[in-house]
Amino acid sequence: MSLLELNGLTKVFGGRVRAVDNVSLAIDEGSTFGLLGESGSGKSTLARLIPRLIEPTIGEMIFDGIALHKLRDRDLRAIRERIQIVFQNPFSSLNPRMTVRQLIGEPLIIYGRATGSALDQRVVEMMELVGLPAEYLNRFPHEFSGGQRQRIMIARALILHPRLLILDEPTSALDVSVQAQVLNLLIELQQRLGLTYLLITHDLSVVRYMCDQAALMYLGKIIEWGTVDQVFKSPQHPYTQALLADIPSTDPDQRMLERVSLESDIFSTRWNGRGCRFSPRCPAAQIDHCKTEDPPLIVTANGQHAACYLVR
Amino acid sequence: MPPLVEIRDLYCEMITFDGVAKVLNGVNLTIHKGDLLGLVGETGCGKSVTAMSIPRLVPQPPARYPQGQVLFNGEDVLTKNAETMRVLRAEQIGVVFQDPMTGLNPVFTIEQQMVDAILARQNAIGATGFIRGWMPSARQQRRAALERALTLLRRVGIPEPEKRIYAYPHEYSGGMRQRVLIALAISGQPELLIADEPTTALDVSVQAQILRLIAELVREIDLTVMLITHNIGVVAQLCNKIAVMYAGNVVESGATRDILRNPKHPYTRGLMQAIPDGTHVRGSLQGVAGNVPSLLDPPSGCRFHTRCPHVTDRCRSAVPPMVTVSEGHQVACVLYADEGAGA
Repeated sequence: MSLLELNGLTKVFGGRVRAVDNVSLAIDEGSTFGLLGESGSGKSTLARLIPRLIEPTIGEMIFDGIALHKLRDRDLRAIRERIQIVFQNPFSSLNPRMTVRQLIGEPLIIYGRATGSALDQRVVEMMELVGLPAEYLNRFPHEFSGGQRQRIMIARALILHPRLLILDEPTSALDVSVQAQVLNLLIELQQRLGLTYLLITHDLSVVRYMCDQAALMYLGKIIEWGTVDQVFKSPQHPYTQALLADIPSTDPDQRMLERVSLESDIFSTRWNGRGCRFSPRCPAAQIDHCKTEDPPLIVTANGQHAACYLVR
Repeated sequence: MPPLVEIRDLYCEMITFDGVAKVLNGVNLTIHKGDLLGLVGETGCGKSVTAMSIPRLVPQPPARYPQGQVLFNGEDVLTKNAETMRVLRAEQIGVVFQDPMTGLNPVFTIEQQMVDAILARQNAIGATGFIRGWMPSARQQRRAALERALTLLRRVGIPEPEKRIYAYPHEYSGGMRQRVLIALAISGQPELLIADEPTTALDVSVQAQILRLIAELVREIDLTVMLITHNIGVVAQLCNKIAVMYAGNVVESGATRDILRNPKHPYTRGLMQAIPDGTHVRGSLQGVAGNVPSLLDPPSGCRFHTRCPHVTDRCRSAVPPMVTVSEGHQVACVLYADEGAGA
């Protein structure tokens, strides 16, 4: 059963920037859904649309049978208890003047769930859950390393018992050795608490390690979607294929730099708004359609989704 | 021929409000001409301080070097005066910094910044150049510098440089800005290019383009490169040598293939196991347990002993010497102390 369903979700900024363009996807309860894309692809905008931190222009969002896009403020506030976000940068997302006790306990106070010693007890429980020693209760964010700060962020997001956790680049500010610890913590918490994750990142390796499903965004649109195995073992869209080829392999004998792959970048390539948005950079043989009509996201023979005229 | 860079037993301390941080703890590092050396390690391990000690770009104070030498072409840069260093940087060392968003000044066009930098570099080395026996006017110099800037931009793959050079940095994407910074770094035809995390802020496809560009430049203009990164994949693809740093020490160094295929130091192994590379089942990544120690009060002996799975009493008391385990492959760990000859 899907916990979250998006249908034709669109966000237009300033009347012309289609940051999120007709996105439809479904996330199964208890699974991890990886949303991949370069910076500027619209993935963080999508993360903020779901709890309606920014308002969608058009489209439906169904969370656990509830139409999020129709909710009024009071009901929205109640539902946000169930949908929490962990933001990217643990150095700027924590108020430097608040202690760990205040930072982790704040959601409970805002929602009026606990006070006094009950609150402290809940905070300590959360700290233990994410692997922070309880004696750090009165410390300030600057006293922690990046990995520990991200643990504080996770504790703060989990204290309201959410069902869906949106993770926006949770480890991209961290070193690999610390990244491994945080990813393993997230996996463990998911198993223990039955959480559903929407993991947003530009790091393909993290998605391959963590996720059940993966989708790729390009200039606001989902251009490929499937299980992690499908997307990584048989990528259909030329963009996915190019990105996978550009991950620098840690095997020095797998030479990557001699190959030519994508040219230019997402910003410098002009897309005139017609046809496939990837067509100006697309290395694959182009048919006339690519320049004139936007390819729809179709289901391929093996059950994955791709938006490309070359895919059958 | 002496190596291009030889760092000998370098110690560096930083004076902070909380005390003296022992940032480098006897670093030894050699770069030969034509090398592509990858310096890897976690945030705060001293890789940038080590690299920036070569052009002496670490501000003193807060930094001080109580001991050690940084030999560039056989001469110790730590004993040079400011003017000599200025000339050395202009002529022989190019630096590309990590963040292409902050490496350029937002209120000047690319043209202004590049021309100024090229002229400053020429002035430093006294190479203003005569035109038909005459000292060129300031305007002629600027025109020549502009030509040079355009040639460089063309070389690093900026499309339509004649037009784009008059744009401001915010009109460039991250990858394009990094290309501009690389163009500036190679404008003086340096012997050594230091690139400090040049692709960390970039997307994977743009990262691949920048790495390709660096590889091409190395072949074309005979560059020696020191690449600072925490991305082992980047090193594996670009570099022929690796030095791994931990808490102010080089703990392992050698040829890329030797180190990646056969890592010896427990820290290098931990680092390699922390990278998700497609072979890991969910939950099976190892990582390196624990946290990076404080440099204000670093652990005694081997600085890695607080996190090491093979720790012994010997590790706590004495700093392990670098030993050679195979040709060109050195490691500083007591596990191998009896294997090779001390180096």
